[in-house]
Amino acid sequence: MNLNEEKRMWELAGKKIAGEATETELKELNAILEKFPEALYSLETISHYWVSSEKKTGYTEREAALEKHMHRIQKEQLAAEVWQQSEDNAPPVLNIRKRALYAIAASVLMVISISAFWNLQHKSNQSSVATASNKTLAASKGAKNHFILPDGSKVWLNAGSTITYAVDFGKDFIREVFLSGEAFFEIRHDDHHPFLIHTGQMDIRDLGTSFNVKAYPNESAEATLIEGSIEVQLKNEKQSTVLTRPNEKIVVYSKPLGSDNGDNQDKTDHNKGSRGFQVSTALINPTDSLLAETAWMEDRLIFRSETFAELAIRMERWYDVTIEFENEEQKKYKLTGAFANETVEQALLELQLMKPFHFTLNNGKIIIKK
Amino acid sequence: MIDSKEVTVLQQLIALSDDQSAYVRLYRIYITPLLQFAGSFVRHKPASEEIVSDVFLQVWHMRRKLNTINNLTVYLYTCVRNHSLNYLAHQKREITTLFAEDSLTIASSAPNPEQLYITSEMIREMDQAIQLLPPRCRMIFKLIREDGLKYREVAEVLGISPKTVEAQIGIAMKKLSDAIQPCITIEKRKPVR
Repeated sequence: MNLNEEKRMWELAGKKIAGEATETELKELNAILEKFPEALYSLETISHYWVSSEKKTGYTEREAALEKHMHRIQKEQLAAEVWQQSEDNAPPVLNIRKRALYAIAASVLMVISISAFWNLQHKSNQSSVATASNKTLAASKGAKNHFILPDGSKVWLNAGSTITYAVDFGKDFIREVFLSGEAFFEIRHDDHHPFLIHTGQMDIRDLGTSFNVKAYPNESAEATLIEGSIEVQLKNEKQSTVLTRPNEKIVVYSKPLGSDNGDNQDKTDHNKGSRGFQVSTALINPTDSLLAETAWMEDRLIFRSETFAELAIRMERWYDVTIEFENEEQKKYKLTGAFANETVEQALLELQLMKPFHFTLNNGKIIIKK
Repeated sequence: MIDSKEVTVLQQLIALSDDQSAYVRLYRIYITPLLQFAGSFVRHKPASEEIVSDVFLQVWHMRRKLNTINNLTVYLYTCVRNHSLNYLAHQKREITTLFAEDSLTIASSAPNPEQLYITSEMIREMDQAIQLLPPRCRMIFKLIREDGLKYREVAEVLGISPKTVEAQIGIAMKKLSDAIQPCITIEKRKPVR
């Protein structure tokens, strides 16, 4: 082929491999290749090479740069504005609240929620967002976040979770949201406007106030009541279950009971095998009266007799890393403990004190070995 | 690779609720490619770090309007380029080309056992071919292949026409092909497994 044809062929090939070629261009390329099939092998090879690049992500460097940058921002912030959410960001005290205190809390909540609601309104007037019918709030991996819904209810979202609600949330009789992941809710109670949460496995209606919902896809789902009462409707059951006692918790299993051959303290009653869920009392950590289920809000990851495999999934979200196991053996280790402010490396070292294993940590990618 | 859908969501979160986690996530997505991009101009690590930090500070300052930016990738890359050229002008260094020759490392390709059709020798040859590309061509190739920018985004950031981008990638492709010809002849001679 002549020089021009060759030049054209490589330009088209580049577009194709980069995913930028139009239909016409693809046809043009094929026509050239039909005339000169010897170029095909090179093309294939380059195509494989193109997608094979393993990025040197420079994990530690990136994190160092991030920390430096955030300090810079915070210095500015102190000098200039006030964080919008700085006051509200402190999570609620998670000791068991007495009912008497709730009345006070409710009125405080009203005050906070009203001002927050006004701010949200004000901001949304300024923005020119293409209106979809739904609004989604998200907490990306390695992060947790705190939001205020248009009605003043508060939501704390754990890493890797999303909440979706209609743009005209609250205008209808029912206040509805869709949750995927884990969230702690503090609902502004309104007898005339029930608050409804949809997850993959169950629907929850607020009859009271604060509760934690854990509903990641492909995992067992849980709802833990902290204060007030909620009504839980399981997708596969006709009767709903009402949780009325604080620290009561309902767990919906993603696999049938009996397939778990561990020594879990919570899920001891295998006679309930006909139903896919169980109601029990959430465990309180005796040392700091912190519930395991809501410890994530206080920046702690608590695990009790969890398999390493399950813990790894939580750690992936918490630290924004990936964890793989070389062998089945390590996956089955049962672990109990808590992580607070450690780095993922420190956390792994702590785990090594409990059970024997080795690990490699490279650019946020962890491999667990014998 | 920069996921433009995720970036759009993050823009909304930051603009509408001052979402700090989203801002951090945005930073994590862009920091490495932008650092490398700045580095290709200024060739001075502390300077490129400061440039990118400045740009991200700017992003924070205008966060309430962040969701009005149509293409954040183009915006950020363009900012970094402008800051870099500014820096160079102030340094009174001679801007020899817009894309300095330097130790800019293009990510190398690790041999992957699943890729039966490409030998590690071929990969080495192609990696080297990329390093030997003329600086402008090499930068454009990196932006497209590694950073995942589109042709028109690269054109916009660099202030050139999309046709030029096409031509440059074409040149890179030809060089890659030339680099593996010796390997191919050897491969073809090997008995079929």
